[in-house]
Amino acid sequence: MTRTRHSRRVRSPRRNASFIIGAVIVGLIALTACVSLCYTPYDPIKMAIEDRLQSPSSAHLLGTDQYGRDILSRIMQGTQNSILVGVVAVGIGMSLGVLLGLWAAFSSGWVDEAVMRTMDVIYAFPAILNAILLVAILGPGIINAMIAIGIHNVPIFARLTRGSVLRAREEEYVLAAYSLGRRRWAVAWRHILPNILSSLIVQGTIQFAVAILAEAALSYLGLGTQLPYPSWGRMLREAQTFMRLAPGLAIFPGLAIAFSVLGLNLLGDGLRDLLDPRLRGAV
Amino acid sequence: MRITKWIGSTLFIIGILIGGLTYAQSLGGTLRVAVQGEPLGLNLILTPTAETYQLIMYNVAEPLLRYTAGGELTPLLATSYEIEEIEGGTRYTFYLRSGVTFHNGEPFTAHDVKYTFDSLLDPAIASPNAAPFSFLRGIEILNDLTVRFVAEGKAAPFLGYLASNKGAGIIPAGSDMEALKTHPIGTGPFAFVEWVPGDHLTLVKNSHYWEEGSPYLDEVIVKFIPDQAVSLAALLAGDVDMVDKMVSENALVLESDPRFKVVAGSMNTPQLLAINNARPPFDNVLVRRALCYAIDRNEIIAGTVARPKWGTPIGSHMSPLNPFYVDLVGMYPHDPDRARQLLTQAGYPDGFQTTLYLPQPFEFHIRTGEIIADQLREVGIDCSLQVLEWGQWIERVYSQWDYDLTVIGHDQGVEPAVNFTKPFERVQANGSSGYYFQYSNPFLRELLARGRETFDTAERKTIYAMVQTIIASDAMAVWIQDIPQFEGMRSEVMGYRQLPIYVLDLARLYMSDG
Repeated sequence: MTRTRHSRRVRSPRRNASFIIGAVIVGLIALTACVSLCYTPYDPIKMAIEDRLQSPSSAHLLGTDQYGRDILSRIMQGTQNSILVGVVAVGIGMSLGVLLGLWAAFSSGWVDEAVMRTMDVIYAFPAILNAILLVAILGPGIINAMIAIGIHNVPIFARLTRGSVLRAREEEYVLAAYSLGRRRWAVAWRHILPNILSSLIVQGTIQFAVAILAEAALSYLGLGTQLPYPSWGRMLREAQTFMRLAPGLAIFPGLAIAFSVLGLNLLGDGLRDLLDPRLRGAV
Repeated sequence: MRITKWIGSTLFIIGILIGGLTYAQSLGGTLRVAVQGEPLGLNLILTPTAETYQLIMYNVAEPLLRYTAGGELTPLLATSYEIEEIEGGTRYTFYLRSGVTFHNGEPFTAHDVKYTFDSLLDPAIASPNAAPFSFLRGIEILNDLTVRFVAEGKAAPFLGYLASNKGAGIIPAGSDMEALKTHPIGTGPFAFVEWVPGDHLTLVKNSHYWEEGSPYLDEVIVKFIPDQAVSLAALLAGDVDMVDKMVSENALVLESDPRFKVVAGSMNTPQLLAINNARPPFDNVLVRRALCYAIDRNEIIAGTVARPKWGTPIGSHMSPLNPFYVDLVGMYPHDPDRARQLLTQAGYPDGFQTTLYLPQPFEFHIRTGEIIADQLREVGIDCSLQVLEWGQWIERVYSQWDYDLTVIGHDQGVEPAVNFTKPFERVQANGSSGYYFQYSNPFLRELLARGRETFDTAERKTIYAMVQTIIASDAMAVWIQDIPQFEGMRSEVMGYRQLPIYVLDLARLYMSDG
């Protein structure tokens, strides 16, 4: 009894601290991105050299960069960039990964082996190395960075899907669906996928954070977002030379990256607590 | 009296000497200087690295002539020379300084000069620095202190080569080339003591130096510190007295600290917005002039150099450090309206789309490019930026000429004939330009040929002033600034002066606290 009550308390969204904090941070980031679509305090690209390297003031809340551009406006516009990268990279990873995972799990035999070993090969490379490799082949730019990060996500979702399917395949509801004469893909689509959706969402949230970090790293290396458009990683790179003179240039974009990743990870943790079917069974 | 004998060239140097006399009691001391790059060897004839040249030339090994801080040629191991035209060539006779000895105690004579140039040009030695002297036909010893060079054709730049080229530093006759790699010997103000690769190089005062009272310092320790952040920290911590060639952001840090001072100089590298003169719409001079008017050099300097006083706007393909430079900045003042007018006249009332390629990892050029793109947008030119890795830049822009616009610096020497040969005289079989500027002008080529054969300095200055005016009025490129370099040092370090060549001149430095 006690255990049940305890579990219920933890799994109510309103009582789950990490879910709430994460959701608030992610909500704020999404809101900032939406606002920046139609309003930023200054044009984030227009230079005003005479105002360069100013410290935070009422005119420029977070100060200005080496070209006199407003840092707040640039961070706001950088939010769009980060969200876009997260959505596209997770989208690519999830759609391809789930399809491949399902295919491997249902085919078994050599198809399964071939697909999963290919996934292992991709997964064996560290995320950034993978992305650098792909960007080197495709050429630098934000679109290619998104594709590169997306491809790195594919094996993660493929493994997750395959594992979940293998477990679910022997479940009674699946066997029941088969005995009713459903085809394999219909079973996968109608019965298995909805049951593993929650783990996919949780994983998606975490990969979203990874994608934001990867984009920042790629842009820091000059391979992601191109000049003059703002990206948090690019801003960090540019700030490096001015560290001693204007630390704000590095601190604020750095905080933006740290906050969004923290928010997404908290949200992911919270969602796992709320959605994980294994835990849900205990409620 | 002795002062005028020493140099007697510019007021600047006289000022330093007066300063020097004030401290006459305390001249000397040890200077520890941090440099970024380490030489691959110390033999000026065998080693191609700029770092060898930077440390050994003038300081350890001396040439026959030298450049002053003002860029003028003055005698060094030669006291005077004569130039005569002969059939098919030119004869240069040099009268050598007497009473000069090498660091190993041997006297300096004409035999040493002949041995140096014979070694430099010896195909068996295969010096990487021999090419500029390939027009030499022979070196004769007339007597112990007179030597004669015979050269093919007329080559005015020869004297400049003697004063500034790698390999022109005189070595003792009979020297072993391999031994000089690790233990250089010359007649210079400093003698070599030791080189610990990866750490430091030590030079000590040549107490038998031919110029009395020079040098001031007793000892120089050159430390090799490749990382700018580390050398700055070393200077702040007192581990070194001076940092050679620091970035402007580090210079800003020192500027606000009374224990240190910053001397801003020039890298002798004009920075420019290079234009592909053959590619539309840039084949139209009106469009190129519009670019010139659209660009605000002072804004670029403020955005790249950190302090406006540290940057110098330029208007032609040369650094103001060069005695042949003419100031043409005023030809195109910043005037966006005029730029828009010219674009309309050229048939682009709504501007056009173009791409500016920027070379990675040169942050200085990338930053310049970002500001330029912003300024071009102002006059309606939609300029997208593309950063290329250095190798890709060389391949695509410099070798294949597949570009619209780019920002880069051109590393130069003093001699204009050398600086201008590649950009303006290289032609393809069909007569069009063979250089990435893609600018071709037959009249300019004739003028440059004349410059190369003219010995009279005043006449040469007129010729190269015309050259610079022509390329500027054709708006062949938009010249932006003379890229600055910064020497950071403790405020006790005195007497630093910059030469127009890549040599760290140690002879006049001293520590004011002795």
